[in-house]
Amino acid sequence: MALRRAVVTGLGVIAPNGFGVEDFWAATAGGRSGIGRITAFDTTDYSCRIAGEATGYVPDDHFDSKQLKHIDRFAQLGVVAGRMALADSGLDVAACDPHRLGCLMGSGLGGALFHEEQMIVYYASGARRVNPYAVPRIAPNAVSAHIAIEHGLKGPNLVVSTACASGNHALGETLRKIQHGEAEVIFTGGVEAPLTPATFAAYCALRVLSTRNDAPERASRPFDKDRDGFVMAEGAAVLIVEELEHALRRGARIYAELVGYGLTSGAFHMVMPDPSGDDAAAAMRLAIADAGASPADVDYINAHGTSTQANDLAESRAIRTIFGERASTVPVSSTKSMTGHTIGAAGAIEAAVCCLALDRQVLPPTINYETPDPECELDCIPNTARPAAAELALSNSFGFGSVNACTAFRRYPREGRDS
Amino acid sequence: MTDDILPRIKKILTDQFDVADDAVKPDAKLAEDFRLDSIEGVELIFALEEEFGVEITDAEVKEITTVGDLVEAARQKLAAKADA
Repeated sequence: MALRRAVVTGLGVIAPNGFGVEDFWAATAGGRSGIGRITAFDTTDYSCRIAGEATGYVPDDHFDSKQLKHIDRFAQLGVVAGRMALADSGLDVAACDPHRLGCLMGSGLGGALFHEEQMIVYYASGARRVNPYAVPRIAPNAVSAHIAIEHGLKGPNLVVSTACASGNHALGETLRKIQHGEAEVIFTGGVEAPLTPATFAAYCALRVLSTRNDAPERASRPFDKDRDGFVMAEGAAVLIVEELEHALRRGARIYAELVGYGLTSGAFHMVMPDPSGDDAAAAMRLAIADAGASPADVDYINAHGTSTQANDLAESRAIRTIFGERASTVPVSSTKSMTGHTIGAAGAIEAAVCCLALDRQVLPPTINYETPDPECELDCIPNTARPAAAELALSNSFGFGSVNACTAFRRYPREGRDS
Repeated sequence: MTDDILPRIKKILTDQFDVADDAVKPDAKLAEDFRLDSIEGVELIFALEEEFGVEITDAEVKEITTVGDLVEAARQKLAAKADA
C-alpha cells in the first residue's frame, strides 16, 4: 500500500512570547523575546532567576475551579492549545469517525508541579494525606487523555517522553501513523510546565541555565560567542495533522505538508551531546531522505539552538557535516532566542514555526546574535526576519540522553488552498 | 458543639466541590446529586478529617453516601474524641 500523505491544517500555540498562533507569529517574526524574571516562585536562592513564563495564559479563562484542581498546569496548556488548533483547523469532530481520530503528544516532565506539592504534603503530614489526584495529575499521558476526552478522540492515544526532543518525536511518530493509515486526524504536539521550585533547582544544579539575570531578554543567545546556557520556559503547541485526502475533501486550509522524519541516538551520555554532532547529522540525513529530498533542497533549518556551549557547537558541526560548503549560507535560526527552551514543547512550537515560515514565506530570526562564534559559522538570520521563497524546512530537536529527532516540512502549493 | 457540623460541611462542599448552597440537604446523595466521582469522594473525606481533626477509616467511608451520613460520621467522631 502506498504511504498516505500528512498535512498540517490547524495550529495552537502558547509560548512565552505569544498566546495564540497570530500573536505568537507576530512576536516571532518580529524578534520579540518572551523572557523575564521568574514570578512563579521565589528565586532568591537560585543561580538562575529568569525564564519564559506563558504570561498570556490565564487558567480561570479556560477552566472552572473543579477542573483546575484535577488537571496539572502542563496538561492545561496542552488542552488549551488543542482547542486553539481545532478551532483553527475548522474540523468538525462530530462529523468524523471517532476511531479514526487520535492524539499523540510529547512531554518531558509530566505534572512536575503537583508532584512537588504532594511531596510536601507527604513529608509534612504522612501517607494518609497524599491527594488521590496525584496519580492522574502527574502522569505524562494526562495531557493526551484530557485532549481525547474533551473531543472524543477514540483512535491512537500516546505520549512520548524524550526530554527536550519529545515534541519533535511526537510529530514524527504522528507522520508514521498517518502514513500507515492508523488514523486520519491526529492532534499532536508537545507541552511543558517546568517552572516549579524543585525541578527548576535541579536544572540550576546541572549548570546548564543562563545566569544573565540582569538582562533576561538578552539571555537566550544561540550561536552567539557569549552564550552562557539555555533559558527554561513553559508552553505548548498542538498541530492538527491530517491525512491529505481527508483535508482536501473538507476543503481545509493547509499550512504545510509533514514530509520527513529521522530519529537517532548518540548513545553517548545522559546530559552531554556527542561533540562531533555525527548522531544529530544522521537524524537530519534520515529526515531529508525520508522527504525524498537532498540537502541542496533545504531552504530553512529551525535549529535546536539552545544557547548552551555544547549544543550549539555540536549542532553547527552536524549542519556542516550535512551541508558541506553550503553550511555557512543555508538559513538557520533558533527561535529559542525568543521563546526560551520549552523542553518537551520545543519541538512542537518549532514545528509550528516551520509551518508558518513556509506558509508566510518569512524566515524568523535568531535574536541576540551579536558576536559571531568561529566554531558556529552559520547564517543564523541574525536579529531580523527575512522574506524567502522557502519550499523545504527542517526542525531539529536533541534531548538529554543523547536522543535526536528531525522533522521535515514542505510548503503546500497555494492553488490547493481556499484562502 | 455539634450544631455547627452541617454548616461546616456545607462550606466544604460549596467552596471546594462547586456544590450549590441550597442543594446541601441531609438526604442529598454525594454521587448522584453532586456528581462527585470516587476520587472526589476521597478528597471530601480528607477535607472533612482536616476540618474536624478526626480520622475516618476506609470501612466507615464505604457507609457514607449522603450529606446526612457525613454529618453523622463527624458527630460520632467528635463525640468519641470528647470521651477520650
